[in-house]
Amino acid sequence: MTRRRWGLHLAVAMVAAGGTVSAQPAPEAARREGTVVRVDGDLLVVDLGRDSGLVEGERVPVLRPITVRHPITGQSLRDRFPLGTLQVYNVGGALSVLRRTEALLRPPAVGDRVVSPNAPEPREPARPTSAVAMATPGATPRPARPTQQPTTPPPIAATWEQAPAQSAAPTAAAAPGVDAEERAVLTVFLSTLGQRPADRVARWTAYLREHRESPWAERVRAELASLLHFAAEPPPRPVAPPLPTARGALATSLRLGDPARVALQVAGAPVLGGRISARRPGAERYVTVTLVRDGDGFVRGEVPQSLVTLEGFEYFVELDTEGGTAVSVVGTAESPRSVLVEPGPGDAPDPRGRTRIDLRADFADVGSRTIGSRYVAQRFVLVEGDFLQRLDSRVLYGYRVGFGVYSGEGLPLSQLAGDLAAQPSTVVYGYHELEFSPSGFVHVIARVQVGVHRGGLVGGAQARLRIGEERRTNLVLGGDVLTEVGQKAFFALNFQPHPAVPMLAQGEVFNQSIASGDPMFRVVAQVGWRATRWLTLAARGSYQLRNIQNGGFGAGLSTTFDW
Amino acid sequence: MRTAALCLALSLAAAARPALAQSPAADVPTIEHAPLAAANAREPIVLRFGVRHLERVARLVVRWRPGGAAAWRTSVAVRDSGAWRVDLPAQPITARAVDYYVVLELVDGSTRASFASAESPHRVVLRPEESDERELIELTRNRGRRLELTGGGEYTDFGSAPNEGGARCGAASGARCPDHWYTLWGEVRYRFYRRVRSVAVRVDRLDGQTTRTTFEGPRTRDVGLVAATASVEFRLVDIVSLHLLGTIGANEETVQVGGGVRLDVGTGLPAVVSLGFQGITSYGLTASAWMRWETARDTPLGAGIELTSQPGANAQWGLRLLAEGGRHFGRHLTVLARVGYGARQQDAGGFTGGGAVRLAF
Repeated sequence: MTRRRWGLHLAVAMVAAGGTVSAQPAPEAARREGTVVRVDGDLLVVDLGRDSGLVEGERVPVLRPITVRHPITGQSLRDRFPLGTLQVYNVGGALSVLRRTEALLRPPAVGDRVVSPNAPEPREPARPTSAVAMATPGATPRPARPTQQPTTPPPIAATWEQAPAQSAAPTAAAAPGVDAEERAVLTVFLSTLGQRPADRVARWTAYLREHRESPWAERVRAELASLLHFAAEPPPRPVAPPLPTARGALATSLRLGDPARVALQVAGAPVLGGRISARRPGAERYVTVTLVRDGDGFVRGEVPQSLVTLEGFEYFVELDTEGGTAVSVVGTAESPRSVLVEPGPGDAPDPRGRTRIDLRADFADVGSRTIGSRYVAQRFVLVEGDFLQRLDSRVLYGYRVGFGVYSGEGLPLSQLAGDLAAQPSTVVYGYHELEFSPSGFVHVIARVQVGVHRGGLVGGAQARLRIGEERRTNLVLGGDVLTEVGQKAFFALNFQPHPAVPMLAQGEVFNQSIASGDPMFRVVAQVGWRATRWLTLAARGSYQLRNIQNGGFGAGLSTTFDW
Repeated sequence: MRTAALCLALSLAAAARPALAQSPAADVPTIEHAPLAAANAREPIVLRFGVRHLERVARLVVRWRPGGAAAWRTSVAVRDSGAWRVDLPAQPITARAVDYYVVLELVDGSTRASFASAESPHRVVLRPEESDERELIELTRNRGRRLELTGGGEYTDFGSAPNEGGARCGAASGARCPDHWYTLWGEVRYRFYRRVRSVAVRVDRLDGQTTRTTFEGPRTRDVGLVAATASVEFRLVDIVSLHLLGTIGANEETVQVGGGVRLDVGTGLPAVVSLGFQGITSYGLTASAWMRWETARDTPLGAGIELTSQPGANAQWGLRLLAEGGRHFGRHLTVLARVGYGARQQDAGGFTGGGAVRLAF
């Protein structure tokens, strides 16, 4: 191997490494060149810091490493070719972020190289030491020439050794002592360095057309096959124009009364303005409010309070690009974001319509009359009051507390003809009721009651079935039992021939109070007048009898407060 | 270190540069900030910033105030892992929002409004944690009051039953058997609105006459009691509370102890049903069922039924039918009145009247 030939190879290596070929760049070069260490969409992170001279906003070349084979020595050398340029987005102490803003020849990848054009020049021209090592005979022996050995090193090597590779375009044709075939293949080889794979393929294909019998043709074909494989990679994805993005959104839930303000910081592309569109859930049309630009790239706006109701609302945000395109950055018209609106913490459930108080008093005569020479009183008084709370629960419709006094006097039928005086009887009682609503139309009411009678405490229960809504037409069927007092069964029809005139028709049979076991039948008719929305006054009349000879009329008043 | 730097670089990349058409010139200091929409109450609010051209920035200042407050407070950003942060102190659960705006103070002495302004601040909605939310709801519904001081009195008459043949209450008691007493009481209650909803101490003083069963048979006796009751109210579920009561005191005989339990259903709703049972040795038992509601503005109402063998551990239980009504006078003062009817048997009954005054803070 001659000194001259090695000089040529070294020069080739220097060209490849002098700004283009380097397995281990020198420290000075490390600040000038960086490696892509991460790719995140159109953003790339490179290991170049501020000392590399990168300036935010400038464009820098990005290079793709490629391995090529020297056509004469067969050495593998690392070259690279340009993919395009990137924009410096952010420069840090050790890392910087670049952004792809234009189409690249190929998608960027980790390992791609980036060259800072502003890096301080090294004190001495950088020598690719590793390339030297690679080309040193002891490190990589030169393979034998396939057909003939050159006797003198090509003079081009001397030239290349003294000049930076990028500052002097090497020309193998100028090298004396190199035969024509070597010169031709080296000329083409050098011309491919730093070129795109497709250009390399074109040049090597042209070379082979003209040098089919060259002793280096086989190696060139092998290199060409490798390049064809490399060039066959899919074309790069075109980069869409950058679109704006936004950070921030409305809270996913608000309380009634909270302002529905949105503030976004816009990034990615310049915008002219924006708007927020909101609607009630499921509504067809959106209400649109223009966003106001604010501070360092923010847009702000507020959804009208008329939409901030317990129904919640839906919204999306659009920004207008400089190109006139409206870009949805939060939600879309077809798929808006939802915001739940909850009652304020102090908002107890609406108490309206929950309370009803019924007060009623009845006097009923059951046939008081003079029998023989004595007057026999047969009558009773019933006073009741109850308090209903509608609980607005799905199953439990209401809770009711009530008090009552039932006071009567009379005699059993079997003793009317005797000379006994009428016997008084009084029961004072109270009760609690639960009203269940298995359906909206049928309610079941259960009562537990306790009272005081002659011997002390008495207890009992009542059950009612109501068919129809409470405040509309309904039919009530029920039964009642109170120990030591008696039983009662009843039905009642509540109806409203006019909204202001509620009416009641009721029938009941019972053996409580004066009957002392004698059953009594009673019919009641009541007509009411809804004086105000919350007050109803009613008068009632009744007829009750224990048998056809012992009956009488009754009357009563009723007041209902409902709010 | 490299990983941290990479994360920082990527986070800076994600915090994309403001890009409005009128964005400031490239050399003007700007911030990168994702405005908060909501934050947890009772926790510090952490605002994070990126700053561009930091070399020209003296301070990043956040001016903030609890929502609705008048005065602005100032917090200065500090360095945090390469970014900048401001920790706004945790707000009480009653604060529903925090307003803030951001100003850059530059090294040349000028200031730059970077986000929002005093006239148009950005509002962060504060949302409490679930337990705090319940506390907030109950506290708000109770008008922010936690401490209650209540004092009251009541006169109860079960009527004077005829002492037929001296058999009902002893030959020496006269023609009738009196059964009446008065009570005076005071209570201090503090509401936590947490799992332990409230605690209370109540002191009762009772004096009266009733029929007591003695070795000689039923006799009219002067009865009395001075007792203190401690109670703890637990929240079982949102609308259900359980009260546990312990009583110690002395009646006309000796020291007595007692206890009780009460279940409230509907706590926080317009109507509450209370079912209770309480007993004191040698004094008697009481079972009660009340419904209290406040569906008319500032007007608490209630109706209840009580069965009791108090105050003389009476052999004959009595029935009390009671109704309450009250009025809130402002936020702190409530006046309550109670009327009722009570009887142990049909031939004797009487009325009850009483009232209470409550101061709440």
